[in-house]
Amino acid sequence: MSKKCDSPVAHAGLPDEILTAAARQGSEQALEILYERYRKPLYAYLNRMLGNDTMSADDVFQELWIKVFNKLSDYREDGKFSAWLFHVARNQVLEHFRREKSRARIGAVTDDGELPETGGCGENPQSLVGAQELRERLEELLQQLPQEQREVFIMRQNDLSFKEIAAIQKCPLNTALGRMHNCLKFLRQHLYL
Amino acid sequence: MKNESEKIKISCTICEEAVVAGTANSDPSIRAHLAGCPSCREFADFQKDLLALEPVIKGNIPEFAEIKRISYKRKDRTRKMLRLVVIPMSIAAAVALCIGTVLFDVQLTTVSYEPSQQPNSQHYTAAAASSAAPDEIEPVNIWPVEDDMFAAALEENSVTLTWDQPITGVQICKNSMQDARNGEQWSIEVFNLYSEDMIW
Repeated sequence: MSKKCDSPVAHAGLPDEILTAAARQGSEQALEILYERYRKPLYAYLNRMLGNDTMSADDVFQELWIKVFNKLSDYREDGKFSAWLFHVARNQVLEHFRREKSRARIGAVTDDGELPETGGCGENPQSLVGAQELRERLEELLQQLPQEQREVFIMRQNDLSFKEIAAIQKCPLNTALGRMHNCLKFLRQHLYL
Repeated sequence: MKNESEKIKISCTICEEAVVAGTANSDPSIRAHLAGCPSCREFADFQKDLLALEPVIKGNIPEFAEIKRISYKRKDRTRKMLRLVVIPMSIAAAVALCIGTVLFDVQLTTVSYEPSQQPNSQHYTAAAASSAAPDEIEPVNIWPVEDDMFAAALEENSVTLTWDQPITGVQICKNSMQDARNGEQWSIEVFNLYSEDMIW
């Protein structure tokens, strides 16, 4: 009899709630599926928040997942698992900053609505026609944003609601909305789609 | 009174905020504005496309097996440290407790010898010694005890030995009592651990 039903691939489409419940019961397969599902978004988040410092991102990523494995029992199923993951990831980033006593490269302005200058890349936005160039340009511009705006954008890319983002950032809902709006205005000014 | 351009600007701001919040489609007035405003439509499309872009991954993301291996190794290291620290400390604490118990017991235990028969009975044997007294101990000294002390004890029909001083190993056999007591036999064996002094 085929054992395919026991393979991680067979269960890859299961929702997070079922997988987390199974993982808490000790299912390593469920844990592996969750890891595969979120490893890229979380790694990208860490990379962007740490100013594309891949060495630091690797360390923090490792610590993050070890913490997730050990603290999965702390996840309360009243919220989305992805929101909990990003909350843990954010704490790891803050912990990293505290340890390093430095911040990733941030924009020249605070989060009060002003937009940073790009520093004059000299490129005509209309020349960025390739998707790869666009993505890379986006990564550069994200590093010029204030950390909070960058973070809101990344979390929205990962389908977190503004309510969840506000809870993670410990700010009012309107503040999270405002950060996203300012971020998009800045990116629109310097990107071309 | 606001002019038309200001009205449009305000409306575009509100429209953009609704687009950002994801509520544009649920508001008929916003939907109407979007239908008639290319700039706001472009903004809505821009947000949608931007959010759909895959991030650029720099660096190699570890595989699940690697993370699990590191996690187990970390746990194993913690367990080893506990074994190296906690177990020796527990043993040390247990030894300290035992030594303290022995010292405490040796100092306070009272050994009473009660005659099971009338004063002129044949045998007076020692009662059970303290639990601190070892079963086997080499007799270090045979103490020449003054007979009058035993005579006094004999009259009272009891000998009480206390262990409230540090005492060395001493075994006392009062064989000399036999002669002085008209054939009565005394057998007193006292195993004291530390001191030569005894309080009668």
